[in-house]
Amino acid sequence: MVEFNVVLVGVGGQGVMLLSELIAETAILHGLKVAVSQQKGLAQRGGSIKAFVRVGNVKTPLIDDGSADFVLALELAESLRALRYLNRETKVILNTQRVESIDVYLGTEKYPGESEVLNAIKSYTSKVYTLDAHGLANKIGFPLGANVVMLGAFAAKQNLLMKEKFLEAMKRKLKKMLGKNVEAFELGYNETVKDLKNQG
Amino acid sequence: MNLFEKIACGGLGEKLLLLGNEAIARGLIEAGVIVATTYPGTPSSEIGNTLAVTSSKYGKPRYFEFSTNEKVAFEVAASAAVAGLRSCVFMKHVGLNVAADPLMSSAYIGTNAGFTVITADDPGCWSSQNEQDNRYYAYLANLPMLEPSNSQEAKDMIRDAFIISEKLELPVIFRVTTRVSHTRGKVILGKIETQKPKKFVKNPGRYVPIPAVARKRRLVLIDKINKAREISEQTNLNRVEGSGDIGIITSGVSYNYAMEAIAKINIEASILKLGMTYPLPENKIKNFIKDKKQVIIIEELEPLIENTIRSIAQRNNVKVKINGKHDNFFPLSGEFSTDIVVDGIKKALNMETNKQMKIKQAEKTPFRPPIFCPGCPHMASYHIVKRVLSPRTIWASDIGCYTLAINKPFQMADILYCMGSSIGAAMGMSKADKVAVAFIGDSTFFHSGLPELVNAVYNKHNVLVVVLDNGTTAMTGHQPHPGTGRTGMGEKTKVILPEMFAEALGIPYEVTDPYNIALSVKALRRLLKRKGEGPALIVFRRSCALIRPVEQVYIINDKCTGCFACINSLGCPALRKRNGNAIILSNLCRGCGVCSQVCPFEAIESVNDLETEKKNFLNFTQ
Repeated sequence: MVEFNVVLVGVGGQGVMLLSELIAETAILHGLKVAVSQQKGLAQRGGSIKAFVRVGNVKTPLIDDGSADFVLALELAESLRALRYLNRETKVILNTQRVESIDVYLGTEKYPGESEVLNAIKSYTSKVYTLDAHGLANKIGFPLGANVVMLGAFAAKQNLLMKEKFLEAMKRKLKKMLGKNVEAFELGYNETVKDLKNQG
Repeated sequence: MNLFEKIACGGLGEKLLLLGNEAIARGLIEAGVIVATTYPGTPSSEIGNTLAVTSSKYGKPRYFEFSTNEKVAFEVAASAAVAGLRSCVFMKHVGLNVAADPLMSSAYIGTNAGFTVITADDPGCWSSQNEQDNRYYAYLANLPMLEPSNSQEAKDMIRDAFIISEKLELPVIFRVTTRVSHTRGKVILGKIETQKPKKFVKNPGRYVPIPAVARKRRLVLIDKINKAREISEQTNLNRVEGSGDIGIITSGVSYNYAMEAIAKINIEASILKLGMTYPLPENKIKNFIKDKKQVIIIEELEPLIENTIRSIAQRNNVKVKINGKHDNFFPLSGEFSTDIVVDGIKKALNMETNKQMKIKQAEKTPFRPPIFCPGCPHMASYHIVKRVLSPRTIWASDIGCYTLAINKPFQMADILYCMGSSIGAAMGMSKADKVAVAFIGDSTFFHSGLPELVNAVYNKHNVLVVVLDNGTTAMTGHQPHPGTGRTGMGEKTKVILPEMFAEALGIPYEVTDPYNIALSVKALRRLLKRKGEGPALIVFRRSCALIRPVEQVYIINDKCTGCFACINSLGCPALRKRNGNAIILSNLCRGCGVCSQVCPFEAIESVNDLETEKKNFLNFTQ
């Protein structure tokens, strides 16, 4: 029985909710059971956002501390909010994009450095993969596609769900700009596969 | 076929990945509901967003409306049901406070066709001002209550709610929580039924609860709730699962945590899952607890089931150890998780509890509250008011995106109770010789600001009312309201504007565009001069930045001195500091140009013309 937990963190407006739905849809296309917990309401744009995707015979949509198999962090500092879900086997995919919080751009709070963030994650798990999803999405002129670049990276990093099913899920869920989204997905996927090969 | 079409027309056996709220919408369609009403409020909002589309495009349900508030919504749906049409009203938990008055009478009057009242509670206050437990309303009003645990049940149990409602001729409360409403799960669709309208026969002796009628109807209600208890005894919604001499009694979302917790601790337990939680099945519970070694009750928020079960045990002389919230094994506040339930069960069973893993690092994460969107007209409005009025002014806030002015750089929210409370709070504050300003959004103004404004005029309260009119119910997902000229079903209707009431009430008022800082400052100063005893009203009118196309963006030129007046006075997310100067993130900029008016050095300029913006303002006010 396939069973795994994915924690997604990011900033409101980055497409965290859609990303969670795409993963869930992919799992459903495999005939798996799935529960997705989403954070909605209030004016969430620019605020911290978290979603859980649980695949397999699960009852609750919530993921307990230390129980994530994957963490997809769409923003550098926000990845720190997922620390509680990490264990030594958790695979973290980290978008190094920075979105400054209001206190940071008003100058009343400091944004943590990349090495600081990575060290914090590495004190839990060594399985961290970083990529500049925003930069990659920009490269194809589709800055909104960073979340789908991350989906591509996730597809490459795991071996439970098939790549074609991710593409099929995108076809089912995405009404607008499917072509660009597929391009962003492939970019994230290929970049990750390339890096995996380089690392041997 | 898009998702809405599938929800409206999908056939028996089809499988969809649905949000709990979308599943409820489908459940209402399957039950053949004809009239559905609501006032938007999270966590219930997506039920209305779904029905708005399915009703206008596919005629399912035949009639849907965004009412001006929950009380109105309740009365429309309840009376449609009395008139013979299956009906439903839905709202967030605090919305039922607004509708509590007709709710209490509807229990006495009863219903004719099925009538379901859906309340979406918010344990953990994800998007609310409190985490009140609306199960109390079932006890208070004496109405049957159902509670689903997941998306599939949320759909399926809607049908049960209508069957019970029609059998007893009583409204049925359908209570969900955020985790049910906002969890996506697989849902297998059922058959869509069509309901024939029932006949309405005039009967003032039942439907008009003057005291003489009410006394009789109270007895009828007691009789009905006894019949409801029999249903509760019989129904499979209240069922035993598993076996073991440890008994666990639970309902709603807590059932899921309980099941996972039992698997995690690896104990044998017998579960009484309660789907109908008022009235509770006394015999079923008595028989369940009497041969158990120990009974653990698992429920979020208040110990309501626990209190009833302790009472059942005491009255039936059942000697069994009962554990729950009264032993402090489970927290009274916040939502549960599997870990919390594991911890509670272990405490109850005297097992060693896990040491909490230390989360060392989280404090280094910058605090990231929700903020105003780039180009949000509320930022400009707050800036204008702050510029004109003394910082000692009391800022009474209200429910909407603009409550975010509590944060930096504005910090302009001093008191808040609930929807529409800003004007009332300002009135009270003004009695203590404080200068008080009420900030209220357009939708909130129509919801419950109106009687407050009338009171301010009638009782001569010296307050300034600032209506932040962005032409939509923005926070809950851009639902229409009376100021938009569009109904929930997408039909054109009369446009009702807040200033019409100021005109009718004969109080001084101004209408201004917050994107024009200089003119708005003048308008506000002019209003304050004209203002005598009693209230005055100013409308800041600009449509929500999210629903307006971007027609130009602004850039920062080399005149920038790095004074950061723009950032410090607006806090717009599109403005950032870079190398001692301000910059504008052009992908975030909505082209409002407010920062260019705040800049003392003419360092911010548009890269297109402003004509389109002016047109935009006019379009919205037409």
